[in-house]
Amino acid sequence: MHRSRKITTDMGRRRFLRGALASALCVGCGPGNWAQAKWAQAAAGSFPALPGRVLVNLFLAGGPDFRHLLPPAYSPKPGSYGRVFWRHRARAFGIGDTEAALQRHWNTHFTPASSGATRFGIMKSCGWLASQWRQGNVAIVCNTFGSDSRDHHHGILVMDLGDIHAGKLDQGSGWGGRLAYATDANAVALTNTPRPFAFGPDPAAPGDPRRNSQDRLIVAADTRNIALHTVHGGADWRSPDEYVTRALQSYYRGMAGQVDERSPYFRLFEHERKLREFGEAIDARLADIPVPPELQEITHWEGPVRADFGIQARNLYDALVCADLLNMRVASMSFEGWDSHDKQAESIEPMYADLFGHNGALARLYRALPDPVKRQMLFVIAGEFGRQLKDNGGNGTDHGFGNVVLLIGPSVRGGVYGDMFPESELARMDDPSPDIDGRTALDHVFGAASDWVGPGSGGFVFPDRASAPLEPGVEPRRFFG
Amino acid sequence: MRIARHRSGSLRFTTSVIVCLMLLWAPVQGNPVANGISLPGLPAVSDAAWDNTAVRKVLHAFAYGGQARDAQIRDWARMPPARAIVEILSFEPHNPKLSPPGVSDEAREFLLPGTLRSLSDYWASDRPGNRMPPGRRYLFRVDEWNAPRSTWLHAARMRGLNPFRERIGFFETNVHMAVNLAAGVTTWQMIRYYDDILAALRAGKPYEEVIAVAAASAAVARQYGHEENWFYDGECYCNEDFAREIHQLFFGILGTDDPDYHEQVTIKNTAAALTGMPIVAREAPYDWAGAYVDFRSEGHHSRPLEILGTTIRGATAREKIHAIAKVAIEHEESLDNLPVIIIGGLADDNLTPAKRERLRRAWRAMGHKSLLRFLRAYAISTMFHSEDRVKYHNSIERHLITANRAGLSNPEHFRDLMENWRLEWVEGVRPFEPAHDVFGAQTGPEAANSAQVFRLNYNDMTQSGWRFSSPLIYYEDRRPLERNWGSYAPRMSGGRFQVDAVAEWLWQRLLADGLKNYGDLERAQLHALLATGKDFGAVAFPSTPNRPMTPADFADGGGPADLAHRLGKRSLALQSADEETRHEAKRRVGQAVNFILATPYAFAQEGR
Repeated sequence: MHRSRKITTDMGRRRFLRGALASALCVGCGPGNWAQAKWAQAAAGSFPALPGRVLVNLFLAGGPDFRHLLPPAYSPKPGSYGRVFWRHRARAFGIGDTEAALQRHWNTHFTPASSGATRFGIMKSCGWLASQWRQGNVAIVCNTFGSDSRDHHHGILVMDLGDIHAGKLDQGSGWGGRLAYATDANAVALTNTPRPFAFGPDPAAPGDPRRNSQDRLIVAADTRNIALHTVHGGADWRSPDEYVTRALQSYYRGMAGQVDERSPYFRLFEHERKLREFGEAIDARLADIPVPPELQEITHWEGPVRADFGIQARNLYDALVCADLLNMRVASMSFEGWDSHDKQAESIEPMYADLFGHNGALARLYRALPDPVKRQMLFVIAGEFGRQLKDNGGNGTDHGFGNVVLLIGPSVRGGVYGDMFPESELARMDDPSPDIDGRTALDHVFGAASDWVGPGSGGFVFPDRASAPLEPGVEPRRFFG
Repeated sequence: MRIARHRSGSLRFTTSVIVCLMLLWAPVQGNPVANGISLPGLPAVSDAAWDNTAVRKVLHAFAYGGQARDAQIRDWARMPPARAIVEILSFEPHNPKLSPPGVSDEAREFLLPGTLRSLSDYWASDRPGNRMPPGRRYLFRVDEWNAPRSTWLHAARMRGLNPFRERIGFFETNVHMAVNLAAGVTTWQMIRYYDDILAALRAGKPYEEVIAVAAASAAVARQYGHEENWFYDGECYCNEDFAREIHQLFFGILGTDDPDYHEQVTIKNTAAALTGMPIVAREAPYDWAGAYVDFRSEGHHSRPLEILGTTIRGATAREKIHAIAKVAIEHEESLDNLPVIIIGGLADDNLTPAKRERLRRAWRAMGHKSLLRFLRAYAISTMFHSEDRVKYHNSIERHLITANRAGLSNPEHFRDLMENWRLEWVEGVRPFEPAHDVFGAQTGPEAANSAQVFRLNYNDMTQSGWRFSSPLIYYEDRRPLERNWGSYAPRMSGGRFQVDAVAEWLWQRLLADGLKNYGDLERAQLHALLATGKDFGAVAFPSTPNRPMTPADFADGGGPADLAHRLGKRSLALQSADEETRHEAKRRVGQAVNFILATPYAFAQEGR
């Protein structure tokens, strides 16, 4: 009731501000900085207090080459890492293997960055990421690993379940679902199809990693169209569709609690229940909250960012506006297409820009969110495995092993964790399939993120963490300030 | 009236002639015993368990519901399962028992070779007899982006063809050996890929040769990029993408017994084997679109290569691919994984370790690996017909089962009864653009786990229900087509259509669950909709129609149960001479269809 009153109270002010924004647009200002700033100011009042810290898992399916995004600084010194690496990656960068070309590419395509003695670059088209790095909001956790196979399917499963021992055919709870359970909250899937990451443990056996339940999973694939069609009212005449609608409403209401949880149809009855429970409430909450123009722009296929991800960014914004209704502490996003065997530069550089550019989806989202919300939010960005150290003959890179995990948020203690460019790689660079060593199991990285969301939850979410490999010198508790 | 009768008689005659021709043309399937239907690990169900529902479950799982008439389904149920399954599952382009012409069809599609290409050309053409509306023909032109999916979606619902063939064609090209238009595969390549795989299956080639045909295709070369792989002067200018996936996805070999060997020998050398195979045009307008591979010794690693612990020889990539396939099909991991991939992809989302073992045993027992034989044995097995089998329908399966079971004739589909655009633009599912690229299309569990998919279907059935509830189908400026439920629905002894019988028939027709899930609430709502066009609440409690009701309200046989029973005894005037009365009856049937398709039972099938 309190929330309803608040919405009602705020409504007049929002309408005024929305009108002001519309007026500004009408006189030709366009959805530029001024409008965005005014909009953000207006929107700030729309956000409820979050139910707690929120982890947003952004999965980059396909095996993203983070070395392409964050390469070592080029060095002309023979035998140096910065020289050997670049020579072995020239084709993947789409350039010739000459000192001048390599130097030029480094100079023109990368923003230099450093952490201690480690010098690396951030792709210039990823300005938002560079900006977050400079603000100390980015932890680059190196040499992480999940699956020890180079099989996409297995690798994705391991990352979703958060279980480096999971077999290819295993099922079970996802680490996001376990985190939601541990924090007595829900996991919200912002993707069209929920990833197993968001499946919770079976409440009857929460310690059994091979059983799962979707009772804490909410699918919000299209937050602006989330309700079931409903017919209200009584005995007056109805159209044929409305009689069917009311028959179904009555039917599902009557079946509530009648279906065994083990039934294959249970999950479908649950969809109906949850959509009824959340759909209309979310519709009501969002009815007076326009989509920020910058986010609206990327939900269309002809927009400047890939729309499948743009829609998820919009969904995340809406889910945060409704975080109290959803009791959301975990959100799940994905961005596919990172399997860059061919013409790597052409294929993944635009995608990195879509994610991390100043005009990319995350930057737009960040501009739309008020600071208190951002402070409560953490992005965990990873893929199923890294790629090989040297490029292939197709100007791409093939499947590898270890990789980077990015943690991004104001609560993160920015820096590089682990040896970003181990010298030992130099000796393996000309092996048949040289890859990045996996030194730190995902348990430690995701476990630390879980602890940040719900203090003490990491041990439940990653029960094998104590025995999982950890690179010497890396202290996961230091990932956060 | 005389003219009308004459036309009707002429149509029936034409249809009968075509059916006779089709039956004569039907493949000689051979003696089931000689064909060796059963396999170790997959014992057949008893004749007693092989009943009407069992047959329908096979049709739902393997033929998108099929278009067989009720009488044919009863015939199959009366046959021994080993005999029936041979008639149901075949790779011939036409299966007149599984897909007979409808009452008002002339099934001209039967006169075509049945390949995707021939159908594409025909439905895109201005040839006499092509009933595709002129305004939609461009969608089927081979050089149109939509051609593969437009053609395939029609082929899978068109009476006179073979929906089992299209089911397997989709599985091979969109799931098991998926390639993707959105990844750059052209329509020419996609259609030829589909047709070549089905031609190999129809010819009865060993499964490894079917896979080799796929692996050597232009579509796969484009998808994975090895069309540009070359081997010169001891160096491979190549990627490892398909070198890995031919083993992993096509054969199920991950190299788990010796990962280092697999990575550094098998995959590296397979990459070298996949060289010297550029794509060329031939009939396509330019090389880039071409559907053929020019296998060359120049630019190819022509010397033998060690792959999977065997020396692989061949002067070209094509020869090496076929040599690899012969070895891979007998690899221990493939023997373990391939049957699980096939059945997991087609029919069972609950493959327990014990079931996997039985599938492996059956697969290993076949010296000559025949996909058809394996599927026939599985489809009549106790494993398929067991209650612990669950198959969730993906969006395409649900769409096509609905098309085949709620659609009644080809002319309805030429008028786009299902509004195919909804599948693409509402649910966002596009055949030949698999959601997970080479890892395949949306799976059944993914669809069932998605509240979004549930919501879209629910809202479709409640907001756009006129697709099924309208007694007339309009399309462009064509004469409206009246739906002909009266030719299919069961009649009572006096020839009348009774609500309770029609309700059960519809439920079974659409869901094939043997009425397992047809409880008191479902029955009450369907009886009310069919008898009155209103929901049960409006009939039982006119002033408070939203009053909640649970199954317990029907348990004592009192008021609600009695009312539902009485509603069930009413008649439906599906063949009334009075147009308005007849249309109203058909509208109610459509309402019932909408109700059934919005229940959870439209999203999955259990084995029993």
